[in-house]
Amino acid sequence: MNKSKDEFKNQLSSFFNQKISRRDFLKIMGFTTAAVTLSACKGPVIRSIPYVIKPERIIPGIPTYYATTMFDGFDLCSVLIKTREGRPIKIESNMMSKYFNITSARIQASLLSLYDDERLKDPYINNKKVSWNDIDEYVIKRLKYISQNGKKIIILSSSLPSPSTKQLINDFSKVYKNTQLVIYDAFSYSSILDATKEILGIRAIPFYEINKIKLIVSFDADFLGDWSPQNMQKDYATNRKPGINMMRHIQIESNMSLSGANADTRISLKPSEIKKILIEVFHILNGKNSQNKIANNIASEIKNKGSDAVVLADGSKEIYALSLIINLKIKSKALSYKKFLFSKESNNIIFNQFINDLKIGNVGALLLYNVNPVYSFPSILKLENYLKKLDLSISFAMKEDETSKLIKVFAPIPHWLESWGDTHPMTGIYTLIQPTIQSLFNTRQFQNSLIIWKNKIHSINNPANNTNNPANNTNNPANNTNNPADISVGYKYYNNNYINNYYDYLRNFWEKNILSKSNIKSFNIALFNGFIHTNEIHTNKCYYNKNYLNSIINNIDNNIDNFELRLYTKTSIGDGTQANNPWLQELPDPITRISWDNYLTISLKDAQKLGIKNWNTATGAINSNYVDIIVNGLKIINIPIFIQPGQAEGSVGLSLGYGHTKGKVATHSSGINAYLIYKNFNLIHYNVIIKKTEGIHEFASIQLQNTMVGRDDIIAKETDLNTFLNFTKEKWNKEEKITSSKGELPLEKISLWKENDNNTGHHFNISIDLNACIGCGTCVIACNVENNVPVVGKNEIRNSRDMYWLRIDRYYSTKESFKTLHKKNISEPKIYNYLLKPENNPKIRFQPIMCQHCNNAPCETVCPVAATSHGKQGQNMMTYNRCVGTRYCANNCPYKVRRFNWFNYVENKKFDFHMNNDLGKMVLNPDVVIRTRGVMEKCSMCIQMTQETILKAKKENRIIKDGEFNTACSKACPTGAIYFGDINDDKSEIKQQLKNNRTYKLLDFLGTRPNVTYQVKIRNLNK
Amino acid sequence: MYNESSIRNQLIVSKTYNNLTQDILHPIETKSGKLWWIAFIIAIIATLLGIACIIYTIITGIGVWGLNRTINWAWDITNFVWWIGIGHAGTLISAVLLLFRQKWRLSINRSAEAMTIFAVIQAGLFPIIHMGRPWDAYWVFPIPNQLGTLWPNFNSPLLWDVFAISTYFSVSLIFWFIGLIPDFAMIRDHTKNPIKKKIYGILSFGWSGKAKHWYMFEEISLILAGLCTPLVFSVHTIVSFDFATSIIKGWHSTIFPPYFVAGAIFSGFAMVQTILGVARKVLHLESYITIKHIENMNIIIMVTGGIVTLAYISEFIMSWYSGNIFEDFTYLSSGAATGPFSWAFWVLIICNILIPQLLWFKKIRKNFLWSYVISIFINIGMWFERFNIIVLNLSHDYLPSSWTGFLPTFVDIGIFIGTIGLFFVLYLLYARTFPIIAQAELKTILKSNVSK
Repeated sequence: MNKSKDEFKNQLSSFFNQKISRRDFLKIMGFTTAAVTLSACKGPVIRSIPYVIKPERIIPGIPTYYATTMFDGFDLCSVLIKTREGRPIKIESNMMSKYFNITSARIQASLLSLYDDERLKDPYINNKKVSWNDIDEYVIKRLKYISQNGKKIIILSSSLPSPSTKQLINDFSKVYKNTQLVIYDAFSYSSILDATKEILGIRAIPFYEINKIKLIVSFDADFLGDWSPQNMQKDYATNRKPGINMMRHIQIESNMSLSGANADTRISLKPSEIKKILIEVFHILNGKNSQNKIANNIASEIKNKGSDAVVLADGSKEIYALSLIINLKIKSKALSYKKFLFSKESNNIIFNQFINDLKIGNVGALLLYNVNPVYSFPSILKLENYLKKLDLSISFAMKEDETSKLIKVFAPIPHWLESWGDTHPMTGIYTLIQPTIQSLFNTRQFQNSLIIWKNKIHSINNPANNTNNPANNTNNPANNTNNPADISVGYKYYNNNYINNYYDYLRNFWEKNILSKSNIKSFNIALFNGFIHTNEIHTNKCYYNKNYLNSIINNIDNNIDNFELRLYTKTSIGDGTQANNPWLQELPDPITRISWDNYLTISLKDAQKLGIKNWNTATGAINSNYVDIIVNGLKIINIPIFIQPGQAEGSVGLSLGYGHTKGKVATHSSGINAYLIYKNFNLIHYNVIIKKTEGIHEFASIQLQNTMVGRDDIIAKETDLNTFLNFTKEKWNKEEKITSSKGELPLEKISLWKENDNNTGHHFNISIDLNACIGCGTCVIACNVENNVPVVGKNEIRNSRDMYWLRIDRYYSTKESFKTLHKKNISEPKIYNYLLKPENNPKIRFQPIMCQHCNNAPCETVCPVAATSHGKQGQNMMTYNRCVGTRYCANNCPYKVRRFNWFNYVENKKFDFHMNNDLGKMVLNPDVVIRTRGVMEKCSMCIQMTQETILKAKKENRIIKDGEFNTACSKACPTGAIYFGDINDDKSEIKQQLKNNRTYKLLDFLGTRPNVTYQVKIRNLNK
Repeated sequence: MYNESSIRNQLIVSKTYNNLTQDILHPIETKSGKLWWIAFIIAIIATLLGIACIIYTIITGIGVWGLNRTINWAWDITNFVWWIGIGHAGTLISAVLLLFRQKWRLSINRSAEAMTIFAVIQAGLFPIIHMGRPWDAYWVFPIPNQLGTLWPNFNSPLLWDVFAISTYFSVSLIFWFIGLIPDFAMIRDHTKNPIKKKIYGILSFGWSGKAKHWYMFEEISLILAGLCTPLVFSVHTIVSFDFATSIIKGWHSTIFPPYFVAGAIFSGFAMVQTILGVARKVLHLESYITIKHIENMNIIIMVTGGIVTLAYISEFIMSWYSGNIFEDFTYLSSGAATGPFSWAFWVLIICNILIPQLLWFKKIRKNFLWSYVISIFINIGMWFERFNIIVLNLSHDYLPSSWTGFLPTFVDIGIFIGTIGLFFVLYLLYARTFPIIAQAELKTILKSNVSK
């Protein structure tokens, strides 16, 4: 030991004593430096592993599509899911289906909820992680006890249009007596359903065929929003194609809704007056006279069109009922008596009964499915007390919500993309839900839990007790006639105790009950299609009680003081189900263009009366005052207030779905929970007192100038139907010409640049019909999903640093124009006072703007490193790797569509959205690269999609058919406002669109020669 | 050798060759005073602030500046153009006035040229740090690379900038240095400190005052003056192309090149006034920088200021008379005068148009203090001219939906202060180590005076 120690010592000393040559020194130095440096570096950890056994249908790089149904408790749609390497990355509409086939912004965005990092990953009991067996044991024991003690077992669910689940709950209730399904929708459709029951005799939502009519008169019904679950956008746009038969749309409303924004004539009135006008119109149609000018005008238009008109209304049961009566009276062709919608089942009466049961302690167990009552039920405090007292409360939630803190048992459910299921959204259509990805977490479907609890009842504790044998009850469905959920009467009963998972149950149920109604005989084919159509029709007779009618028309609210509040749902957030979705929170409201917030909307005049202001800071960002409001004695403090042009005087609006206290993203928004005042599920509240308070609210708005400042004939062009029909293009869509020595020449004839060869190969163009665009924002979300556009959060939006590749500009009209002002001898700069501010009840134009892909692109010439260049197929292309970030291109872009990466938006704690966690990043499209900070990005015309189409056709050795080329926006647009195609294909639709008289190019006088064209909006003012 | 016209009044009186030599040597040979140290420490602190802000920007991203999707340039390019403009006076004084045989330049040309060099250094900083990825800044140079045909985009005015500024900087530097050689040699010969002797010996390139040396010195000065003269006009012309070749209203303007050059000289002389005003007092150069110099510079300021005013008026008229509604809110329009940036508009008008008009009065023109105050206003006004051109025009462009405002962040301000700090650090070091007056050349006019 000693020896060896010395040995080393000797060596060491000799090492240091020896003379080291310069070369040796350098060698040693070089090696140590390199070694130390290298050891400090860590190789990147790559978390991908190759397949050991490759799944049959998964080919890396090739997407697989599955048909399924998007259903999250609020929205419902037949969709196709694009999956790549086993993970869903895009939701597209299933165009094979006839109905419920139109995606919205919310439906497109619901993909991200699958990859929400805050999802519950395991079952819990009392905040302790447990196994599913523990859950089953715990729950069954208590369910049994409760059911034997005669207390109620309540399944509280949002609308549940699933026939198989209803059947299953029915089965379940045979085992556990006193089980009751209570439907509770945060945003209730009960008044519409009740009214329809009263008038048309069926508790469902009427189906309106608005493609059959010529006049639509909407009394406060936001039918392009969430008024009806029916997707009316497509029929609406199709029926409004400019021409002699263009449908006319009159909207009478208090808030500025999406429908109002699209209306030909919008009348701004407060809710009580809307009701009065509706009743007046009813009287006039019944032959009475009226002094009311507005009512007279509307009634005469309805009379003129007769059965070609339809009246829609919203606000209360009575108003809705009256609109149905009017439709019956004029025999409106739009109102279909054969088809009804079943996707909403809200029932306020039963829900109130349940609350009563809770109060008197009748409820033993509460199973919460797709609901969050502590957040959305107005009397929160009381509810909390009752929930605490329950013997058993089970949450079937995907993630923790406001209700969670009162819940003992968490049985987390998978996302709909991981689930099985079915829906029956309307007469004659049944859809299937199938998983498109293996469950990401240790979750179990609600239905599976019910099946297991139902079947396992005997294996737990006392198997000797035979009285509850479900087999004994299967033949006795009559026991449950009081159950409102019991729509399964009529379905075949069969012994299904051997089935212990929901897939088998569903399949069995479909094979026995559903498939027989259609000509599709195989479950797998139905699954492949995602839906089946049947020939079912309703044969209900329409009747209504005269007394009921009298009670409506005599019930006029008189002399209402103070403000009237109209609650509404926003296009992006809806009822708040998806409030934790960063895409939706950031999506600017189509009307106010504000994201991450809700606010009280008020008219300018009322604001001035109350001394309330909105003002712009030096950065342009909007600030506002706060107000307190008192509704029905309930006070809500510090609501930001937004002055909304078009808001009816004396009315205010507030959107539901905000103000969550749980969820990272939802709480990033500073909204107000309007459900607090959603008392008795009333949308309209009278006698609202508003008081200005201290403090300044900071809004995040992406559009700060709301009018076109007199550029109305140049930017988003519009004309009225008469001018369009009776005059030549010169009058309403004048082509820009350049005067030269050879006379007036069109823009194409003059250029300083060498012409590109645009006639060979593919040359892509986008055509956007401003008349069809309703501003719903679906394309914006679709673009975000397809192109991995980052979410930047409230502050960055406020700093005007949104990253949208595609935005929808919203312009308000002004009362005056340059022409009228010059006539009045008003000149600069006074003129701007009139042109910068919108008029009181402005007309709205929407204009989607993406990169215009100019053939002579201003951005391309100014980049010092040639990072942006022109593609052979018409794209203006961006080479991210080459970009050094001088931002000159963005400055020189007249359309301001280029977006700079001010920060790293990926894996950055300051941008704690989906791109900051591994799960969230699974949503990223592998075909589109993630951009680093310091580079410019913008719309690529979805080059990854066009290229895929080209390569596919090449492999199959065929010519590409028209319609095969698509972009994310053109594919997602619910109204077909965006066409995309190859203009070198003579037979293509896009070529036809370009020939349209309404076509113009944005700012074409600059000589940029965009590959994106717009079509003039037409307003139908023909009475 | 030069011969000053005998009709002209004597510029510098009561100074002999020896006086001049001693005056130049004084700051180099003696220890720095308290004032110098205070100024130097303040400048160093400002520089460090600037460096910290630049590092913060590079680590975090350009997002720490006040820019947004509509206004993609603001303080960065404003500062760039402002510094470049300041850098114009030096070359103009040494080169153009040399060609025009304006002898009065000899007292100020050295310091003005130093100012040019230091200002161009500040200016050159901004195009680099304003990039999103400054570590890739070398991509703007046409360097052969592994991709073979990948070149920078020769259509881009930014690339022209790269060439214009690098050329301007190198030529100015050489011109300045050539002029310094005889003066370095003078210091080398006079100083007693061996280290200084060595350093100045190296800097003076073995100058021995032979007739051949003088001959070559004169020749090269003339050649470089000839080279510099077009550069004076080309640099700012090309900087103006950054704007003039774009299609943004308010930028796309054909009068930009002469207007920018005039503006640059205008601001450059104002800066010379500002800098020399201090140097004159602190370094006791009153007998070299006389009121005649101040007046001459004021006259140049009046002339170039007049050109600039004319340009403003024509810009205003063009935007109004064209009737083009897209010109409604350009930086010189009634829309700008009443809009959200009206304060910036009026600062520009007051500082650049109204205040310089005071120079029409001979009393003010010949008053040292007044000239000094006016020069500071012009410096501010010229900064705002660039700010207005960039920010106002971008903020209200074609599509009103994209209109935004602008507010700088502390980083924007910190970097600007940092460049001012660095400028003064360099200038203060220069003032203590370099011959601040071109004594060799100045002696030529002393001689003519003496011989008279």
